[in-house]
Amino acid sequence: MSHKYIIIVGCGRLGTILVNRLSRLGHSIVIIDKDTGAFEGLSSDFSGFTIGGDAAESSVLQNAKINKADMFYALTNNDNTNLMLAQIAKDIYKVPFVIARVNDPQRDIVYKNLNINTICPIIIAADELIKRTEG
Amino acid sequence: MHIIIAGEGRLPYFLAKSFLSKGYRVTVITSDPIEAEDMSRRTNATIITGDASRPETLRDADAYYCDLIIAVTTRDEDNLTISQQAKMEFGISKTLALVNDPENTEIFNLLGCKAFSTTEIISQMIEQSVQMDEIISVFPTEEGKILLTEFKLSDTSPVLNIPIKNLSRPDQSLLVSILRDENVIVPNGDTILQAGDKIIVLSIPENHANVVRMITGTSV
Repeated sequence: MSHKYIIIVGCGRLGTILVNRLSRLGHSIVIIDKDTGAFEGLSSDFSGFTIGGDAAESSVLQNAKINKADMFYALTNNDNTNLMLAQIAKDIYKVPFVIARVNDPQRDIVYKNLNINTICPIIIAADELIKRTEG
Repeated sequence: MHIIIAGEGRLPYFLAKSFLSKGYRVTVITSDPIEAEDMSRRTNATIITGDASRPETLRDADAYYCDLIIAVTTRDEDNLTISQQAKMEFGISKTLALVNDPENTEIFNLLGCKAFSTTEIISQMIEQSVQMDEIISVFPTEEGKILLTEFKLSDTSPVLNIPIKNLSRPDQSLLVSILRDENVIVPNGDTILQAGDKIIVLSIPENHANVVRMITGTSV
């Protein structure tokens, strides 16, 4: 896998694990979170940038150089935030690869209507549990 | 006409009151149950408690039979989702979203969502009313994309007594016309401005402050 410039919004448990692993794989990462305390979970060998700020404020995404990003992950725990950020990345800054996290599976239809690629951790966990149940 | 207003605080309440008095049917969606109870006691609007960005809440608010939805929550992302949802799922063609961050106005418009910014509206009003003496009026056109500003040149203006072509003019600005002693002058490069001239300058909002500085010598 070649070297990528990746912007990730939301440094919760999922964001933290992802950032640490992607950084280890050699990608350039910018991680954005409203709460700068969220960055404490990042590993000591994390070599990317952290930005404390509300990504829904357009200057924050510009500071992250979103126009240069290869990938954009909206992983906050708020579906509306993820929806808006994913649209901005995809439709305005033309980031080639955009994924938004779906927290509430019932909202999946909104993301589909807007043509946004999604990942829903709850559905993935449920699918996995069913697979193991059916064994 | 059926109008849905989504949001919290005083704004939805007063909007509802004003639309009801004009004879419209009004439904308010608020996430705050205490506010909902209070509003249902004080207005004839239908009040729904819930998250307006969820389709089932909009369905409860009778969104299939709605002509206009106004999203005025304090979070821009919620207002965007509410508008988009209303359009896509319920076929409401008229939506209006409040943007709290004025820079999101353009982003919302690019995403096909009509938006307004109270910050922008208020700051424009202030600019127009507390202007310095040299500015007579500002006319925004094309939804504020172009500004036509009328100035009266004072004798301290830095643009006097120099041919216009020698002035360093901000990009995307243009001196449109001069009114001198009741005569209208369409300027060319050799025209020289005089104190007392009334001039009309076309500019874009981004460089309006530069235009004002250039003509009056003071910053906005």
